[in-house]
Amino acid sequence: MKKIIYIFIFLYSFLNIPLSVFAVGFFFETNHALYGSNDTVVVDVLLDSEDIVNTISGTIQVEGIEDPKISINTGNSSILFWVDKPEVQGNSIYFSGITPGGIQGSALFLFSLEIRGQNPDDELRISTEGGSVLLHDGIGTENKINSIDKKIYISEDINFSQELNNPVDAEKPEDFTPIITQDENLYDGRNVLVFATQDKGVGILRYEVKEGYFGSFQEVQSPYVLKDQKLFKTIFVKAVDVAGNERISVVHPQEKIFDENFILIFSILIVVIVSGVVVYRKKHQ
Amino acid sequence: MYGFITKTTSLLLIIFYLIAPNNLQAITVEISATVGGCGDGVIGIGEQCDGSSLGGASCVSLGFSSGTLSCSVSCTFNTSSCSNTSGGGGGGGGGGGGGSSIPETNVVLTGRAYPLSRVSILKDGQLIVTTIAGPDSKFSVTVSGLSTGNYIFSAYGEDDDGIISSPFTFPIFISSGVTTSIGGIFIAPTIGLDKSQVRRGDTISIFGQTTPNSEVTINVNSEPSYFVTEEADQDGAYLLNFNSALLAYGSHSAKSKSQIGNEISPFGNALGFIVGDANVFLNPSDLQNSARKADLNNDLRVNLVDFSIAAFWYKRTLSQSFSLVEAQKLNGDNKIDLIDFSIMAYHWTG
Repeated sequence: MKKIIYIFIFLYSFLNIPLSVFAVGFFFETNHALYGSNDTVVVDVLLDSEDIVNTISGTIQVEGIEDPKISINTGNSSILFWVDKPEVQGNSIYFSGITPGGIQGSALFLFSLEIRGQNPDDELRISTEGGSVLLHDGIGTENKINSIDKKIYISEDINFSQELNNPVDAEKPEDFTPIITQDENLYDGRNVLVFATQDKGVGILRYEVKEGYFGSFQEVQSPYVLKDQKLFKTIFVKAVDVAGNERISVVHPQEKIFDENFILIFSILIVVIVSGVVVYRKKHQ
Repeated sequence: MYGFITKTTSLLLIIFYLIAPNNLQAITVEISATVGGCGDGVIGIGEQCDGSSLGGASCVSLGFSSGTLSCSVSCTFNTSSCSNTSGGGGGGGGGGGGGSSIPETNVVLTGRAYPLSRVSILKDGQLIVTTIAGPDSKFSVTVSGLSTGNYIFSAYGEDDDGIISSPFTFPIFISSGVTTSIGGIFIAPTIGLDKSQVRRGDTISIFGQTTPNSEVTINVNSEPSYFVTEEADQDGAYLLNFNSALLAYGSHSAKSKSQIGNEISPFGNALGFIVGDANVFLNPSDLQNSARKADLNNDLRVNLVDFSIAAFWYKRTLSQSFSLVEAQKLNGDNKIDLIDFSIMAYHWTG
């Protein structure tokens, strides 16, 4: 039985060679052609594009598995700003996003899927539906693109679960500068905080915002309408990646004179002075 | 821009080891911005590796604990033989490390813009630094605080008239503890026109700024396409008075690129004009405004704020006031969709 499997793996690895020929299209790469039922199947979603493109969108379909558990890793993506962050809905994942300045090349990494829940003898098929790229030409000319499907077989006799393929991500998300803005076309002209960063490891999981030193971090999305519309408080924006690494950026109060920092320092000074006076009086009584 | 990159093949790898205390190795990798294709054994822009060339990277520098790193057919790292040996127990603690320092991860960007012009550098679409080019138009910027991974850098210039160039954009893989030098960045010339419509037979002036004393090729896109060369003066300014009698009635466009010695810039933005029966003159502020298309909040920048405003209206019915903004700054179809985001990505200034 093992011999048959080895021959099959050998033949399949030839059949499964990535067919990237630097045309325009999505394709998928895995480390192995066959996986076991306990393995995590990691599928990289890649793009070849001869033309310079700045907007990429598509729907990835995962078929041949009854109840897949799919997680997504957007770390190190060639897409810099997500319009629709890839999200799993049943067996499909829709995504769209832009890369300012445009991008071109072969095997541009978009994101990876981590699939679990497969059974022996399943035949996973990863494909795309309605993928398109928009050219970096200033008018958004659409280029319909093809995709090369990927088939992954699940075998009872394979087990890569001992193989820890995910590198340890000990690095924080990239440094970033949140911006406070006010525009009549965004939340009726209220003060809004916008922010975004990338993570070169496992990808950004969430953002949290804390308004004021004595506030607490709350999970939010950009753009975020500030509770402190007077811009009195110091704002802390925390980017957290999937591995739990955190990067905190601080936005100092926009109210220049009587801001939170001033009140804090003033309060401490008052406490110190009052304490000093009390101690002095006690000593001289 | 990229055609130029892919056709020009030049890559210099200088790797030398500085023996630091504790045997730490600081590695300097110098890569020019002109690059060949995948499979030529030379790491180019957009490639993490090529054949046996790994650019100083290893399983450890990519975050694994051990293993052998190789290069895939698509010139990306193959980490299938890298592993994180967890557990295993044993191994009584090693002797103290002795205060080793981690080598810095830097990128040094050098190239040409316009004399004494402002040059802006974007990292992953966000403005990180601006600098002023020298009188010879050369600039140099060091970016630090980077992680291991893929980055997309852009550089653009702003000329004496406040006209912004198209960005010079390139992806690059950065390894931790490595200083990567990217030379040969040649920002495309800026371009302006004196008329948005020219009466057929009159001249239309095409002008802009580039590196001093370079040869500027101006392409007037028509049927047939015209290529005219002009020499930039010592301030980098160039001017072409083009006879519109050569052009048919209708829409045309002009773009330019620059060459000095063996260095050649990509073509810059194309500016459209019409050949008709009357002249319609432009002033410099019109050119600045056209360069600021997609600037939804009118702060003369196209960045995350504009992206957020567009994202707010994505798949929503536009308000009356935003409908006017959309018509003026985006494609005017009274909705926000991916085409509008593409227009924004094209005009992005960070």
